[in-house]
Amino acid sequence: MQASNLAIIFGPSLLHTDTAQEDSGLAFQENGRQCLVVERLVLNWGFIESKAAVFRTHLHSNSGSQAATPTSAVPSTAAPHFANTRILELKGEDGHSGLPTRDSPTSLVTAFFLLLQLI
Amino acid sequence: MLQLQTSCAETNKAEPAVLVVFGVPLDEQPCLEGSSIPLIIESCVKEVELRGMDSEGIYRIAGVKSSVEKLGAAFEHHGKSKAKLDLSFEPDINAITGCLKAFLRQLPEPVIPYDDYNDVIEAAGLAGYNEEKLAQLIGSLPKVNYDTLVYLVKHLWYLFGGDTPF
Repeated sequence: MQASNLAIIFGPSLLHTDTAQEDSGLAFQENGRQCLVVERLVLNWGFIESKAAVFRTHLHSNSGSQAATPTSAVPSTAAPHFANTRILELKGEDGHSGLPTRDSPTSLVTAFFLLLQLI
Repeated sequence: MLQLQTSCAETNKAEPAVLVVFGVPLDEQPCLEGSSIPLIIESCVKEVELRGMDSEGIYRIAGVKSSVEKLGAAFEHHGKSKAKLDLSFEPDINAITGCLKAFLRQLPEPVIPYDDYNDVIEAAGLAGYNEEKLAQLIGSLPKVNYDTLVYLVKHLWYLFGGDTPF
């Protein structure tokens, strides 16, 4: 399933504002931004989760809830094994597969926004 | 909006058997033993990964409304039990995904809270994607929000074609 399709479904579910947007055009753009967040999360999750885990460890150690204090930027918990390998698989040997990757900002949602900026 | 808001007071004051699940904050949801992820999310995701991975339009196609409501009622009648709710009684996998979507939509505060909304949108924005900032914002979410988001995004990754089922 395409990440952009998942983003369109889950974007407005996982995050939204608490105020209704009366302008339908602006509401549509806002909806697109919500989708973009979820698309970023799905496509870059391995990287984001490992960084978030490091930040979380720092946060807890600074608040005194955990005794261990990380001494380096190395993630305390390893990124999911798919974080690097899967994306390389998606890119293929020539780096040009049809699937969106971390290095390729050409997903449907991203392309849509780029198009909006050009209009 | 689903009509799933049955209060305990309406059913049995002495021994409330029905727990309101829909429209209730994440941190007030019943969870499986040892988990912080709402039972309804974990149950639906596991069922989808068990028998919905080859289903066309698994999250796009809407389930039959009555089936979605029946599932919602099942979760509410499950009460505060920490045991897994068996969803095999529901043959329509789209009803299960519909139940999950309805639950997320009806949360009084989304998984990514209102306070973080603008910052998260900005960090993920086209004007300048800031992965560090996005990760920092995600990492600073309350535990139940963080665990739930991790769980859901891993599920989406799996649907996307990743190789890490739960």
